Amino acid sequence: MNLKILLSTLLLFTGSLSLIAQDEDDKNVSISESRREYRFQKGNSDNPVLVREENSRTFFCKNYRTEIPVVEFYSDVERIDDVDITVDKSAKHGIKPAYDYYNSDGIFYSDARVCYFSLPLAKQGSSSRVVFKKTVYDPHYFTTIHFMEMQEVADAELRVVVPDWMQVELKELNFPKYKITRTVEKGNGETVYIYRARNLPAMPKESSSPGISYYAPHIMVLNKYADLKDGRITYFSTLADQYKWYHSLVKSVQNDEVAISAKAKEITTGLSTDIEKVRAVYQWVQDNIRYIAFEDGIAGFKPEKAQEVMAKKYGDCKGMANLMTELLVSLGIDARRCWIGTRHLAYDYSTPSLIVDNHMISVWMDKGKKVFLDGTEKYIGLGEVAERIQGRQVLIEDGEKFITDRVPVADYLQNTAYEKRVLSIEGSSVKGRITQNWKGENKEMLLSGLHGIKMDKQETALKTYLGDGKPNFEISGLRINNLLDYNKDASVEYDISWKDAVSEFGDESYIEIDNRRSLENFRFDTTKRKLPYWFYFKNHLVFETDIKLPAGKKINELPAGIAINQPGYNFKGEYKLNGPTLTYRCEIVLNQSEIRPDQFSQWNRDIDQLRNFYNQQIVLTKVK
Amino acid sequence: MNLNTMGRPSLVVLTLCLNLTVSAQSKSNEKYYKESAELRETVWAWNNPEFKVRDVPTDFSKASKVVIAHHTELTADSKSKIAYYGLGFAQKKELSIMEVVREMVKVNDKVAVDYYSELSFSVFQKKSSLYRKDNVTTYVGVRVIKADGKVKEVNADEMVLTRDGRNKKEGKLAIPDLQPGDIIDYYIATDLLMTNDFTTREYSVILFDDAPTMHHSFHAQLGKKFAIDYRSYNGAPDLKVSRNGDDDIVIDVVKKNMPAFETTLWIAPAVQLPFIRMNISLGTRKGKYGYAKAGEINKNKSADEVLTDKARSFGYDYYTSVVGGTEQDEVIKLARKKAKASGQNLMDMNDEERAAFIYYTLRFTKILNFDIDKMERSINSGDYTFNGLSSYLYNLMKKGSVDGGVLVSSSRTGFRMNEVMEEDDLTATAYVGSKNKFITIQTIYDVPFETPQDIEGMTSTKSFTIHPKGLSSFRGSKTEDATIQLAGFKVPVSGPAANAHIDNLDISIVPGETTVGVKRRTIIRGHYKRDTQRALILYEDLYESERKELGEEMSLLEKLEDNKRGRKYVDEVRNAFAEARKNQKTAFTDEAKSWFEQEITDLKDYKIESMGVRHTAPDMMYKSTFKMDGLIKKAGNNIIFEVGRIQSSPLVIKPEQRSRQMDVFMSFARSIEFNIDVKVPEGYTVEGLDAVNKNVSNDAGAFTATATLAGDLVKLKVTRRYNHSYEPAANWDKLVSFIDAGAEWSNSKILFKKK
Repeated sequence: MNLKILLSTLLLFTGSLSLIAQDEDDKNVSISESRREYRFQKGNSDNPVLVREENSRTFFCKNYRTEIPVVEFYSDVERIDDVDITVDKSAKHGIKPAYDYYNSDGIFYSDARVCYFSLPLAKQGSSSRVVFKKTVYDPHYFTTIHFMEMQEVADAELRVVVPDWMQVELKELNFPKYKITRTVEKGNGETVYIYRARNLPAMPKESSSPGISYYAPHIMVLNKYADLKDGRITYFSTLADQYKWYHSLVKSVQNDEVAISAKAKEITTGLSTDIEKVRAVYQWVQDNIRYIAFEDGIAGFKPEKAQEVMAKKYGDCKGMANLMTELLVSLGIDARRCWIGTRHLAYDYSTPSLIVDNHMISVWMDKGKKVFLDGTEKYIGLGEVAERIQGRQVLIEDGEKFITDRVPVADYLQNTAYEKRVLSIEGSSVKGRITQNWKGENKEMLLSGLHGIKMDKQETALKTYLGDGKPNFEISGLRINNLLDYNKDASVEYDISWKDAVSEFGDESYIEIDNRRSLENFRFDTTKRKLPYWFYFKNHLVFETDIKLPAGKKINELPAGIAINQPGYNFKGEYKLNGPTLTYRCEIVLNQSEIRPDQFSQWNRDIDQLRNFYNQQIVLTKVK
Repeated sequence: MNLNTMGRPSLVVLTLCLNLTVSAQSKSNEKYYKESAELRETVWAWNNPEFKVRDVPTDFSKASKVVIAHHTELTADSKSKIAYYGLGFAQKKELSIMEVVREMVKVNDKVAVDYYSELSFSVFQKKSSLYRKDNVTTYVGVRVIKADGKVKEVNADEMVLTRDGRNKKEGKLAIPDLQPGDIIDYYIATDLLMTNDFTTREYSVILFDDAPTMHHSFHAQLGKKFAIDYRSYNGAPDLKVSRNGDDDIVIDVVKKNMPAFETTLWIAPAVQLPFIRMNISLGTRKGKYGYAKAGEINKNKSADEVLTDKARSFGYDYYTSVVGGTEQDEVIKLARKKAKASGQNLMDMNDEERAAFIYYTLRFTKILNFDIDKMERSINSGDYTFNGLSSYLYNLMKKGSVDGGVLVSSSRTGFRMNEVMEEDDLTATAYVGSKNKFITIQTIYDVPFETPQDIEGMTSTKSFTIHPKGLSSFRGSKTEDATIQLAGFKVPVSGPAANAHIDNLDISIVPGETTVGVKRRTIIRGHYKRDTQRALILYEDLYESERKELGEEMSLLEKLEDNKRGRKYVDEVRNAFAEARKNQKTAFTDEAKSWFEQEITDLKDYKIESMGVRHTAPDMMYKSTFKMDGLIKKAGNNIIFEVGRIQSSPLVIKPEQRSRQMDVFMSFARSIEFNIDVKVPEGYTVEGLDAVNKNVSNDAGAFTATATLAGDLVKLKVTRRYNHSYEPAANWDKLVSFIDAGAEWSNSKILFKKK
């Protein structure tokens, strides 16, 4: 993932950098006027085309005086030339912008920098104005222009000035809801695209929501080419241009074939089939290469040499994909590097631009079938694909050409978590044996958590997890069937003594069968949430229990079952009596990973039903 | 220094330690790399046998990591020079302190690999002034020793600079080829160059770690003009201190085979875990005025010396704030005026009444005072924490002719009184009148005459009072002479009833519904109050309440409207107050959610009945009405009420915590009480009350639950009580017994059976 390409996106999420915390629903400050101009200019031989930006925002204090954080990103290819600050019409305010390294989670080092300061709004009705002047030194990196800000914008005008020698396509996205108008003025050797908007809402901030490119109004800037006196400079006029640039970077990586081949042979010693070798190489990369990302300059796009990643035992997604590809190729297996935008991005390669992808993986071309390998997914098996890349378009290297395809979409069965209990009642306790299996991303989630715990604490942590932290759910005889081979289901078995699971009142006993109660509190606050909710992955949770009833006890009436079938999810639960054995089965299916806002009310009603189902107790009475 | 947060030097901790305020002349990269290479050669050539060990005992094979060797090498030297400062020539002292911390660790799992895989550090900092030029340069070296014994040196010069300023450079280094089973051998060296710096530098040898440690050592060589104070704590070995042929001070300590210690429940590291503290400074020729004497070695410095330092500061505060300032006079004047306005004479009040009146006047006029230019700060003043303001309060009371003093002690979980080494180890708390009437301002919600929990039960104390010998601090510069030190007194200890959280709940159940209706009235006492006060009390309400108490007629908004400047701003103040009030409902809901750990909806009728900010009404009381989920289960036609869940998630003692040899240090004695009335739904009877009754009671505390039926009301009383803030380890089983009882009771249920 390249950070500098995401800067325009990050700019909209400056809450994490807040100097003074502001409430999400803060309506105290708005932007009364936003004026931005982007102008393509001729530069010098090193940077033939520049993009000059002047960005002026006037913040207005509506209710009471306050201070707000102002944050602007820049990098090695995007510099801040000037910052002009006016507070309540005065330039005498003593504000000194701070310039700092931008520390992003998951990125060891990047050239991303941040300029920030706290901007006072002196009193109700007053305004403070901030003007940034910036220069982008390479149009490759000028990819998007967003309209939304952290505050509501009353009046926005955005101008893109394109000289006749520059060929640019401006693609408007998510405009209809926001009534943004566009006019075009031509003359004096340039075309000026003027966008105007009024009363734009503030950027929503909601957890587990789609990336902003799905809903925020913005312009994709597709820089095609520049005709300069020394000739034409082609940017990404077509996808072929983008691939050509990527391919040139990959070609320039000096992989050491000898060293790679030796390691590949070592990893696959004794293995004969391609699938065994691919599986072994994939797991070796997963196990041995730590994710450490350097996003400094061209390192944001060019993979590190395979032998370097192999020797250092760390790398970013590009480094892992390059190493994995080279290891497989050295074994005579047809493997390729692939560029891909994760589901966080709304784009695909129909709009060639550096913004459309943020990730690199490998693909094994298995006799026409493509098997995708993501070295950054540490605990997933061969053939399993993480939700974040499922269905996404990939750009696959094919020598001087390229192939586009889509990563297959796995259904919820890839991620089944299955729990089977065989129990009996002894007094007020329930005892028996439990088997649990996890597949796909449920397996990955379990193993990621487990391997994040010190090894001498892992068994205790696992028991705590299995028992939901409840002291009356005593686990013994823990047998780990598999927690190491990611190409098999993760699986454990254990005995339980579940104390006080049975409540006795007079002649009757009451049991609650399901203490997992999956999703029981997963309701949406429809008064606040406006954006879709994205689960990490499609899910499938199956919980089965067989309980042998004690002699002299019977069940007069079984609780009602539940069967909810909605587009995107199913909840099914039921009790059955087979002689002296009560069987309980609950199955949760999330066959889509998204719940849309128009589904929230129905979802909440269904969760209420599910909770009512969980809340039913089994009543045992004495046989008379 | 707060030992509660103290750990052994680790990569992360060292990163923080290296962020010293420093300075000097920028070094070129070339010079830096050359010095770095030379240092690497030196450190890797150390002949310490512990760094040659490669095998770890099998006992440690399951540990995430094992510290094979940890060594600190400290060298300090100084020299005098004549320098020209622009105004003339003067002597300057140049100091050089080089500290190398080297650690060799066997990393056994991915957690340990992740921990050591990245190193962040401050490469260089400098700070200059006319008389001082200081700088700190940091060098690192890292080697990875593979399982087959091959040593791979990491090129530390490959670090990336995350800050590259003229005065400050920060770097990060990724550690390559580190895998479980490897040994990482690294050091961080800090070269500190200073001019004219006589301040004390603290060094600690921490002899406990969350990883087993095979060899931990410290060696220092200090030039003869340095001085050292040192002390070993809690069974830590003694430092060996000697002099070499050049009269340098040589310090050594070694400890081997330390098992892993993991910070656990209710401990006080300063009085329970082994470590050594050293204060090192450049001494002066005579060692006067708080400076150490050159060459002086002090083992177990007397606490009296520290008390003398504290007395000096106390006296200095008096001269600067009382003699030099007018603010306290102004507060006394205002207190007189406000007392008069309410028909009283401040000076006719007894000491206690007068102290309280002055205290409240100070809080209202100086801390709660509304500042339009810092409006958000005023409104959020409840979030701020003050240091108790002991000296200020003592001097203020003195101005108000209230007898009293300042009690100086250590804190409950800090260093013992006879083991303090510096002023910051001591706690000072003002008191008035007779003993035990403490006054302190740590938050705007504090109540006069309540004993701060961190000094409860302290017996080794001193009482400071001021008897000025003149009007100036310059007369002989002996400000400590103004301070009289007398024997202190034993600080009282609050019991569980004094620190109580009491919830009175009227619960109604509607058959067919999954939520219960709750009418809640809560009383919070003593040390339990502060967080809830911060969460729920509005600044405006506190201001207005205090304003009325002090007889001020106009509300804050009226006062603003009455003022020419304030009138311009009254609307925005009103807006800000309105927004805070709007958010109060969310705060009440969140507080209930957090306390009961259940979903809370439809909250209404919320009100703070008493803010608990006055000694005449010290309890915080508030009420609300809401619906609570999570307590009702359907059982055929019957209803199961899971009453045990009302107490949220009770503390559960983990298996590894059940055996304990260390004494128990809790924050304070306390009790939590639920008085619950549940109306039996019409058409139902109740069963299972007997099973709800539980009583586990002993010297350390109790868990009790009783249930009775009175008409159509089920009356439940549930109490969890910790009798003391401290329990000897021998009482651990007693604590566990009633804690377990509470955990078991969380499964308690009552049946409402359909008739």
